Amino acid sequence: MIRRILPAIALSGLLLSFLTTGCATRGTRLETSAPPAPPVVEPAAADSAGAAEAVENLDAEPFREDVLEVQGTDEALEAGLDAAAWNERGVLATVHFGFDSARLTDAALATLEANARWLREHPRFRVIVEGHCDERGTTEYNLNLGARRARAIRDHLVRLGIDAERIETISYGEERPVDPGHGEAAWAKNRRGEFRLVNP
Amino acid sequence: MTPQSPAVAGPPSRRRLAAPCLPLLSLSVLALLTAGLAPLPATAQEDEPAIEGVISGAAPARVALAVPPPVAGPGVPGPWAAELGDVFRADLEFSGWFGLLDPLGEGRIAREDADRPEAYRAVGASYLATMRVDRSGERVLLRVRLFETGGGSVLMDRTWGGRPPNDLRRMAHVASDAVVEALTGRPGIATTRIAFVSRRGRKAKEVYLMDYDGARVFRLTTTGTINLSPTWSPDARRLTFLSFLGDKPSIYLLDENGAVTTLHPAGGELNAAPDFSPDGESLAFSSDRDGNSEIYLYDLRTGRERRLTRHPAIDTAPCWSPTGREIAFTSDRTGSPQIWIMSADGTNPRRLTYEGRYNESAAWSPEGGRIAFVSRIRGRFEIVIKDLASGRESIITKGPGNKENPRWAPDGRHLVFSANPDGRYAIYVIGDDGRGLRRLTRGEEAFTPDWSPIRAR
Repeated sequence: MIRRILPAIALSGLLLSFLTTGCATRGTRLETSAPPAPPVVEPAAADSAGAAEAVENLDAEPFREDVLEVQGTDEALEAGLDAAAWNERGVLATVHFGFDSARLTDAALATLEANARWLREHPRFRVIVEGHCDERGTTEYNLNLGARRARAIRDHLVRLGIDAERIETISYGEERPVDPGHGEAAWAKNRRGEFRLVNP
Repeated sequence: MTPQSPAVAGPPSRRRLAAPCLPLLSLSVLALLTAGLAPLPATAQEDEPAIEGVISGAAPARVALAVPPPVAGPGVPGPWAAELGDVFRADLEFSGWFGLLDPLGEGRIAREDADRPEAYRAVGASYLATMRVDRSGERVLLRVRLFETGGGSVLMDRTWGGRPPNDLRRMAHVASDAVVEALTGRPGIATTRIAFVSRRGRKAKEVYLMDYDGARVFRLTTTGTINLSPTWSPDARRLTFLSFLGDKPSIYLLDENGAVTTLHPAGGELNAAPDFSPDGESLAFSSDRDGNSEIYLYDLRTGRERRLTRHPAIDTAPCWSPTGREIAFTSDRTGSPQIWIMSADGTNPRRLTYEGRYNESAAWSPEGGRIAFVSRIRGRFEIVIKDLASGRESIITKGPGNKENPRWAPDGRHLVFSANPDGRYAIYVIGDDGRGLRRLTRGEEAFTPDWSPIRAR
C-alpha cells in the first residue's frame, strides 16, 4: 500500500520537506547501522525505485548524490541489506502477551500475519523468535513460559506458511526486559515475543 | 517416610503462624529447654523499607549460653581476637539454638570469677564457652572450651589454627559449629556457603559464592552473559547451573577445581532447572526437546537420560526429596502453576498445592517433612512452608516486594531467598519460623541463591 501511494506523495510538495531531513543519511544507512529515520522516510528507502524517480524529477541539486546512491530495483537494494539492517528497522513487529499466558491475542495474530507476509517475501532470511516475560514469577517458570510463548509464535508462523526450518526459538525468561520498571505498564511491555532475523 | 499428599483431604487453610520447628535435640539440651531460658536477642534492624518475617506466638525456648570476650595471648593484635569473638558469637546467635549472655562483659561477674563456670550459673547461664587466642609463628591458635555451669564439667576442649587475617572468620565458623554439635548433637551450618548470581555489567549475571553470613563474596564465572540458578551437589563440591553461554541456554557443571562441563549441548531449545539427586549421581532437569517442557533424569556417569513427565503443560523446577524417592516440581497442567509431587520414576503425579493460583519453586526440607515454595498472595510473591503430614501451610514473609526462590539451609531451620522490597533484588535469610530475617547482599542485584550442604571434611 505504501508503495502505491508513494509516487503521489513524492510528486507533491511534501516530498521536499522530508527529503531535506531524510536524504542526507539515506545513502549510508543502507550499509551501516546509523539510527533509524522517522517512519515517513522508511517507505521511501524501501521503495527506492519510486523515490529515485521522484527525486530525479525534482531536479534539486543538493539531493543529486543521494538519488544516485539509492538507485536500483527493490530487489537489488534489499539484497544489500543484511539481517542486522532489517532488524534495526524493526520490520518484524513485537507481539505482546497477557500475564502468565502464551495465548496469541487478536492484536498478536494481526502482527503475526504481517510478519509472516514479510518472511514470505524475504525467503532467504532465517528468524529467531525470542520469548520474554515480565519480572513476576520465578526464574525457572518464566524461562519455560518464555519458551512457550516463542513456540506459540513459531507454530502460528508455520500455520501461516513459513517453513519451520527457518524458525528457531529461544527463551530469555525475565532476563531481558525492555522496560526495567516495576509497574503494570512496564510488565505489559516486557511480556513479549521478539523477532531477530539471521543472515542466510 | 513417604510424605503424604494432602490432596485427598482437600485444601487445608493457611495459617499466618508457624509453629517453631524444634528438631531432635540431644538429651542434655532438651533437659535445659525447661531450665535456664534466655530472652531472644533483638534482631538487628534493617535500614530499608524491608520485608518482614511473619511471626506470632512466643519466642522459642533457647539455651542460655555465656560467651565472654576472647582472651588474647601475647603478640595477638586486638582486632584479630575481636573478629574471632564477633564472628563466633554471631554464628551461635544465628544458629537459633542459644540465647547468648555476656555477664563478664556486663560486669555481672567479677574478673576473678571469669574462669569459674559455677559463677555463670548464678547469673542464669547453663553453659559457658570460653575463647583463648594465641600466636604460634605464622599462625593464630583459637582454643574453645565448653563448660556445663552446673557441675563445671568440660564438654569440649578444642584448638584450631589458621593464618591471619584471612582464616580468622573461617576459624570462628569451625569453632562455633563444633559448639553447636557438642550441645545439640547436630552439625552447625556456619561453615556452609551460599551460591547465587549477581549482575556484572549491563548484560551479565555471573555465579558467585559467599559465606552463609554474607561475608567473603567470591565470583566463580566470567562469561559476560546470563547465568542462573546455581545448585549444589550433595557433597558441596560441585555446582550445576544454567548458562546462556552458547547459542541456547544449557546446563553446566562446575567442580571445585574450576573444571566446567556442559550437558546437552544439543537437543531441545531450553534445558533448565537442574537439581542433583541426593546420591549425587544424577540430575533432574526440564527440557522442551519433545515439544514442551518435561522433566528428565540425566545419569551423570553414563550420560543416559530418562523422561519422567508426559503432559502438554509446563513441567519444570524439579526438586528431589531427601530420600531420593520422590521429586517435587512445578506444573501448570491445571491451568496455573502449582506444586506437584511424583515418584522418582515419574509415576503417581499428584498435586500438592491448592491455595492461590500461582505456587512454584518448590524446595524440599532436609528432614523431608516440609516443602517451601513461592506463592502469589494479594499480588505479591511470598515464601510459604507446607507441612506434608498435616497439610498445613505457613506464610513466613510479608511486606513490600516479591520474595522468590526459597532454598533450605542444611539444618532445616533456616531458608535463603531473593527479594526486592526496594525494587532491587538482594539475598536474604530467615528462620523457618519467620524470625531472624537478615539481608546478606548489598550493592549489585543478586538472585537465585542456593544454600550449600554441609561439606564432609
